[in-house]
Amino acid sequence: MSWAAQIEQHSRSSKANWLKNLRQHALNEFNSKGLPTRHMEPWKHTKLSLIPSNPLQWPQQKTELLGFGLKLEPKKILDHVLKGLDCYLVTFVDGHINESLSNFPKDQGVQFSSIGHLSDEDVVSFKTKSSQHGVHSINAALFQTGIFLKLDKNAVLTKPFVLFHLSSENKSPTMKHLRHFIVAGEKSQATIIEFHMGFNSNDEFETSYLNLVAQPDSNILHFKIQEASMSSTHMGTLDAKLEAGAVLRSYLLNWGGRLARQEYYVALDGKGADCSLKGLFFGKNEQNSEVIIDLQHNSSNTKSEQNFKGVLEDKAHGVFYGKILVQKDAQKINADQSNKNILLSDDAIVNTRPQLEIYADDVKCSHGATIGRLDEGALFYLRSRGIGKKEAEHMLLLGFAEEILIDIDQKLIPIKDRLHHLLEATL
Amino acid sequence: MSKTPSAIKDLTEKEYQYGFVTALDQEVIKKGLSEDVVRLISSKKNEPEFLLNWRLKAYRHWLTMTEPNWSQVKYPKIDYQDIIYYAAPKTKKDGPKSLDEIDPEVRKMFDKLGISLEEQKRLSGVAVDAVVDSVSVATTFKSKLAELGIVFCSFSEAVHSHPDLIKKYLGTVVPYTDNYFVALNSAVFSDGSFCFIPKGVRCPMELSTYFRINAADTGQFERTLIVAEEGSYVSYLEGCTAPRRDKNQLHAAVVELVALDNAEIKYSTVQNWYPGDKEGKGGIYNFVTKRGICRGHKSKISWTQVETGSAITWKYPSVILKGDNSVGEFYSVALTNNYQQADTGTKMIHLGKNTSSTIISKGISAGRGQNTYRGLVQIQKTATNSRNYTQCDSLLIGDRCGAHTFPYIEVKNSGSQVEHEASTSKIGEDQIFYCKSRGLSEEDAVSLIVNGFCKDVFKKLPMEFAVEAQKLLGVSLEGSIG
Repeated sequence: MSWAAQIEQHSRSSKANWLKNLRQHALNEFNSKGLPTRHMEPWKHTKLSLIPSNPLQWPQQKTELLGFGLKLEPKKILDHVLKGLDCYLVTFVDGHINESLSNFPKDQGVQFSSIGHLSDEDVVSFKTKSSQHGVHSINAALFQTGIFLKLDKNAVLTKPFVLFHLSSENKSPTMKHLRHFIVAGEKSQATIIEFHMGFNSNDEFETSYLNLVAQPDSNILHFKIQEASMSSTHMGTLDAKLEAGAVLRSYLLNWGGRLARQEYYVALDGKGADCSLKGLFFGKNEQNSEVIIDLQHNSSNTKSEQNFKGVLEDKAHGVFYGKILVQKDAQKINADQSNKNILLSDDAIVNTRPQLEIYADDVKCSHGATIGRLDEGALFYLRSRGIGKKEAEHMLLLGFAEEILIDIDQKLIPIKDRLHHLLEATL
Repeated sequence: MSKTPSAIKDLTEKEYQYGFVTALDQEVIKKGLSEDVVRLISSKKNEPEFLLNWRLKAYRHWLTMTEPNWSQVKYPKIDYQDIIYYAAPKTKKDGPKSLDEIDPEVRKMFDKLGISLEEQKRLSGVAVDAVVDSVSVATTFKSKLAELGIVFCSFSEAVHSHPDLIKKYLGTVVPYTDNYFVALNSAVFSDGSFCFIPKGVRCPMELSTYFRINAADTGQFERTLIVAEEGSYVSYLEGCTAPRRDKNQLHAAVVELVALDNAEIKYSTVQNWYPGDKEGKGGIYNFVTKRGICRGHKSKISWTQVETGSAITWKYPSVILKGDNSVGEFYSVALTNNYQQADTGTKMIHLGKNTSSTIISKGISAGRGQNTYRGLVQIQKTATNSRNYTQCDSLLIGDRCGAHTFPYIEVKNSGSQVEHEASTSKIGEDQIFYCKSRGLSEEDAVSLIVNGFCKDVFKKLPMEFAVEAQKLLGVSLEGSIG
């Protein structure tokens, strides 16, 4: 079956109006755009052969979970990776919500449901017709599950909310598509952690799309920790719309996947909206690790900051494509972007394209990009203090990478620990 | 945005002063492009067989290509059949042997432009090759340069006097298949400059070409080829102007530079084609391909450009760093005012070991101008220990202009270091306030800041051009307010 046929089949079977519309729109868009090609600027350096040209099978629901031939115990995995983080939790196993492994949010003024219970009114605030390319259309047309979280005015999510996505061993190539919707009401606050982990040695195609609407003066902290299996293609998207005075801080650890691509579409629509995106993309062996950003300053007095770091080993290929767009009449803008990369091998490749597109004059925008190796001077200093070469390099790399999370809250220490663990395990 | 004082307004709205037309006795061919036109141009120049064949190959290739549309500039579709591909001031059959033989009208025109050919000869010690519409009309200092073995003449002359050199180097840096406008240029180019610096010679004076579009409805397609042999040095200047007309005119030039071992080429441009009027009507479409190759060990190519003219500029002077330890440089000031659009930048392709490149780009947008920096830094696997530093800054003046930065950075080995930084801002109110508090008028303050903004580039220009460039910037911008 082709993608178009699968999408068409799916779009007909949906019941709710909003879903029907969304899928119909996705079908039309897919028919006009098709899968990404090399001629599309943000896909220029992507290894497109890793995006399946036809739909794969859906994973089967199993009673016993296996990963790399061993029995998986999701509870233990959770305890291990989150190290006792006191949190709300939704666990997805192979694309299905597992209630017994979840702890749904219960705070006052917080509505939570799975996407199946979403009504037409709930979806009004989302600009659901925003497929940028064929992969988005596939997600919009085929997503099986996801969550809907709504924070009322002044509501506060008292614990971090973890969306834990786990994929287990499958005998044949599989795909799964998830879409989450979050509305943060006026002056509300929440911490969202998206966690993806894979234990599948077979081919896998995963798309995950997070729709976020941050209403005036809301404050959202977002993490994405991506540790998909090395045989998977992971396409993540954060699509955020920030209204006046809303603040979004987002952190990314892009670790796993044969091709792992995280896209950000951020619209600073309201006066005084403020967004910061930070992240680390790591690649080894033949991994392709990509970060794509399209950040739009649509209103005056908005502020944005981007700081992404790449560490590439072996034959890994890193791509950074970050665009800052300042619309006409959006004055008093501050926008900063930085992309620093370290190549640890002569076979590793980095393509970086920081872009500024500015149509207003009262702005302060800057971007910087560097590609290089570890600083010789710093290495020399450490070695002159009696530290071995390997260890000195290790220390410098840790310092380089861990800077990304330097400003996060003490309560979220398990995330820092996770990064540290990943670095120690891979470097 | 704050108000614009009237004195400043006068300055920014000052009209293009090189917009006059000179009544020259012109020889033009019919509009349109076909294989016959290519043959006609070639036969008019009495060209050898190899060049005609090359032109025809380019023309046939051009037919298979489509106009590129990836750049940030927008313009109505060009009708390539509505252009005159050859126009030349009528001169005596054999062309001028000395300055006295040049059509007095042509000389007057260059006097008017401030490029007095005779004065140049006597005073400034700059050898000038003047190109009007399609052909070279005068080259000064030829004999003096010949003593050193330097060849500096029009391209068509070089085809006859040094066919082996042309054959050896033409199209080696920019092949006719390179892009749409190159293929077009290769098919119909009518003249240009040729310069050859033999082994070990340091060219004692600046070489300069002055391009002028005079005839209406014509396109100008010139080709410049500079070859610097081992251990030689040359500094080359290029300037351009055109009359004011309502209709857009096309300028599609190709410049090729070849630097062998230890050679150095410094190429400076002050581009002041007619930019169109305040409503964006008319002006030159400047679609130029400039590329140099550092073929030899320790060779160096440096591009400096000041772009103030043209309705549309589409130009990326590039360096291929093939030789080990070779150096590439790009210094640019690009100004867009009114409805001008510029999409300009550079490409640094590192192939050799220990190669280094520096890119300094300053973009100034005013009025409704759109200014884009687009650059590629590519470090290939073989280019170990290479280094690049890029800085591109944009200054915005007025709230209807745009400044865009699109760098492409590709690194394929771990021993190299690439740094890129860019900033976009308007002139800070605090900067102006500081200057004013020190007793400077607002205009002087802005002029000081703009000049300071461009200083890194201006100081790379040869003296003669630095003065012109500063004046140019003054005319179109100095004193504007952010």
